[in-house]
Amino acid sequence: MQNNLMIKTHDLSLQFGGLQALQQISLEVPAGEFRGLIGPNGAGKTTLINCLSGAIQSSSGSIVFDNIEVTTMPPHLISHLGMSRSFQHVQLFGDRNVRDNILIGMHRQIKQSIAGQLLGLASSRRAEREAGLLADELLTRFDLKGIEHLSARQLPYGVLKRLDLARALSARPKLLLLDEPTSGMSEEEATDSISLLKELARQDGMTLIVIEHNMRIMMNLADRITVLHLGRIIAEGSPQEVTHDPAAIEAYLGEESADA
Amino acid sequence: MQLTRLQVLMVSTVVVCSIAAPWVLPTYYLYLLNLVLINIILALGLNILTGNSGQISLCHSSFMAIAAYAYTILNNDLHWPILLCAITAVGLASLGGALVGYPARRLGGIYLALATLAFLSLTQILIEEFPDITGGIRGLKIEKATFLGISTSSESLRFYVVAVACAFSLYVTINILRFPLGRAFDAIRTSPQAAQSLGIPVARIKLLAFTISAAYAGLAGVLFAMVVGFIDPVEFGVGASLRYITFIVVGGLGSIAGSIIGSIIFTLLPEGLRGVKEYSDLVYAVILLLSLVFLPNGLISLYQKLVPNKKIAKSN
Amino acid sequence: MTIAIALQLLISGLSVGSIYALVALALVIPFKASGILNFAQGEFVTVGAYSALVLTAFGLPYWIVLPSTISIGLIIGLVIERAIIRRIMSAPEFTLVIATFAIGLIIKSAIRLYWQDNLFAIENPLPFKTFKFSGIVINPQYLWVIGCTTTLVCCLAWFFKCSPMGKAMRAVSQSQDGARLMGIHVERVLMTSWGISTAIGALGGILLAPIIGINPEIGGLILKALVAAVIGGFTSLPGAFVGGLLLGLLETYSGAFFGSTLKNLIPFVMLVVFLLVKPYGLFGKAPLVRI
Repeated sequence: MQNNLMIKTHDLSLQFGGLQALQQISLEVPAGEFRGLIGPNGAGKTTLINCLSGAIQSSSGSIVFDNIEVTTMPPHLISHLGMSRSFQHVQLFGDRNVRDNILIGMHRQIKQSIAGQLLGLASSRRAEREAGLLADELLTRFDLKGIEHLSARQLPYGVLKRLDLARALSARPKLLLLDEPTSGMSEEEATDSISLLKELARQDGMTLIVIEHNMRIMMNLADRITVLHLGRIIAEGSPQEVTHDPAAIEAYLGEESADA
Repeated sequence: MQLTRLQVLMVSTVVVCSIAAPWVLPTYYLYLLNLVLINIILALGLNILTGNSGQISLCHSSFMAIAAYAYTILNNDLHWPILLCAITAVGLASLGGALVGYPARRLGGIYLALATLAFLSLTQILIEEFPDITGGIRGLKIEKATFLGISTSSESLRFYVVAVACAFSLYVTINILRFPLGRAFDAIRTSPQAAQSLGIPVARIKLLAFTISAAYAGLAGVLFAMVVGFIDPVEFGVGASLRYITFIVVGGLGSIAGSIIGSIIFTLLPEGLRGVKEYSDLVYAVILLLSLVFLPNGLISLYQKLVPNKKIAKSN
Repeated sequence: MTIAIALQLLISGLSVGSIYALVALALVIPFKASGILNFAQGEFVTVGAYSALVLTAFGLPYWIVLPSTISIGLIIGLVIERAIIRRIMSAPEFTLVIATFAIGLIIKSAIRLYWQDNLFAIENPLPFKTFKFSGIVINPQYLWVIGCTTTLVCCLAWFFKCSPMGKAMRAVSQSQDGARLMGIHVERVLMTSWGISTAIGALGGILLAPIIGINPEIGGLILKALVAAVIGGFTSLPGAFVGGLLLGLLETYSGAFFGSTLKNLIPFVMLVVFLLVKPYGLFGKAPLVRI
């Protein structure tokens, strides 16, 4: 059990319009943990992820990622430090095929000079070949071989989600933020997917923060769970603790019975 | 790049025809061919910016203008060696591109379109306000010079220079599209948020797209000045920019073949319509509109529909 | 610069500004609803002017010509949206922009084919001629333009606040999917937003015609309207109105003080300044997510 905190926020808040989207979020996720993030719709889960990844600038508070202050850092630099994310509404590069999507995911790992690329120099061609081999490995790992030349737009939804995941993982991040990775999947697909994810995470020492509505998966696979409601953390602890927390039950499970 | 035997055959045919062209074609057709090739260069660059990177530019004719005027002025007034004039001119055009690309990082969509419009107006004003240097509205004639010992008024020289430049531009474009840079361009167009989260510096890539694409336009501008022999501000106005956009929109955004097809059609069409001058605008616009309505993804989409993806068949 | 002259300039500035404001509104309304910038909008002003010309030539009185011109603009807009725009909604953004440009070019060349580049004029529609009021020379046409524009803006304000279609349009501009889920017929709303905007453009044309004459190039004022929309903020209707008036006043006063060169440069300078400093205009809103 490492004491090293992968990501830590202190009193993180976000206000836009008249709305207080996040209120004093203080989160600490140790390295290697699988942290679940749950809460009713509109609780601020996606907003929190947006803030952590730098896509939205928080109004106040601080974010420290792997001991580096990233509160005002632009998103692409945060990504270079080793953070990856997936999106709730899958944002794949629809014009490009599956293989290219993975290659784009590896962008920050491929170091090539601009001149080399423009002139087609041997060094660039070699770097491209090596990247291609890595991409093929990933495609196999995620069972995407065979459809790699299909345009991302043509894929069925479940495969899209798998590709989204593969793309986020292709850059070997230290911290992976996932926004509803199993939405639209069948129960079996979802369990397989998240188990595979947890396995990969353990192998590579990756930290995971996962937004999920599927309580069964959270119960079985998450190490700890944070519950958000109306922009605040209302409960935090092991899956057992959280499901017995009265505040969490009232806020979250009340919503679940409405869905059912 | 692995080439199939068919592709090698095609390329060889093109090379042989190109070498023969100045001896075989009459002057007017050679001139048209030059214009087509120049427009291909321009379209390739514009397509990288607009088709691949998704940035709209209404000032591409201005990048051409910067290069054309720089080339002409350096040649006529300073008598620099012609190659140096050309390289400097293209460099200045790229600088113009960077100038526009820099604020582009925060602007998108119509705001970017308007910013480019403002840049275009600026270059027009500059051309017209300094008639002593630029010839103002009356225009400027390019004086003869020599390159590699041959006069620039030689038809063969002009054609070979244009053809080589075009081939080089094609080569560079193919490279861009198969390397990470091209993928990054596509990424920032389809999903800038995802691209950002994957470590792609969106603002810098936009700047790069503008600079590279302006370089293409600059090259086209230099060649235009050389081939036509006379430049004036009307040639580089809003109408011209919009025309260049139609090359790629009708041909196919983001596709090399699209740039080529669009350039060929819309360079030859106005020439073909010369006889019916009154109707030419109307016919041009109607053809444009029809192709947009029936083939919104460009003519290249027609080809893609007719020729199914062979690779899927193979892996199945 | 006497008070009298200052007031005269005020009125003519507001009048010019009202036309800019009209066309700017006509640009912003469909932009808010559908995200499409209608590059043909200037040509609809031209259509309005020529419609007024034709109808007046038939001997119809102004109080019939005015609403008829607006209706012609409305109908043509609806037809174009239905026949052309709707078909290419799913195409890339630039395709739509170029399509509107092509439509505009078709309209302009068709008009030019029939009427050539001749300059036409229609008479002052009002029974009053220019008069003097406590030392100020007042052209009632200017007042008419200002009055019509203000009336239109009030009508639009009421429309968007109170009428069901107006409220539906506001919903669609926030989220097409959300509006659809609420049962709003999104296609009909988009078509209406087009019709309204082209009708407004046509109104601009008939208001402008007696003042500057009629020729195929008057659509060029779309460029000024674009600047006005940028000043006001492309996502704001009151912004478009204020932007137009502001631009008109700035142009008129700088023309009087500093001569015509500066007057021609003003729109360009304003555009550059705003795009660099405040690209979302005085009233527009910047998007939240950082790119």
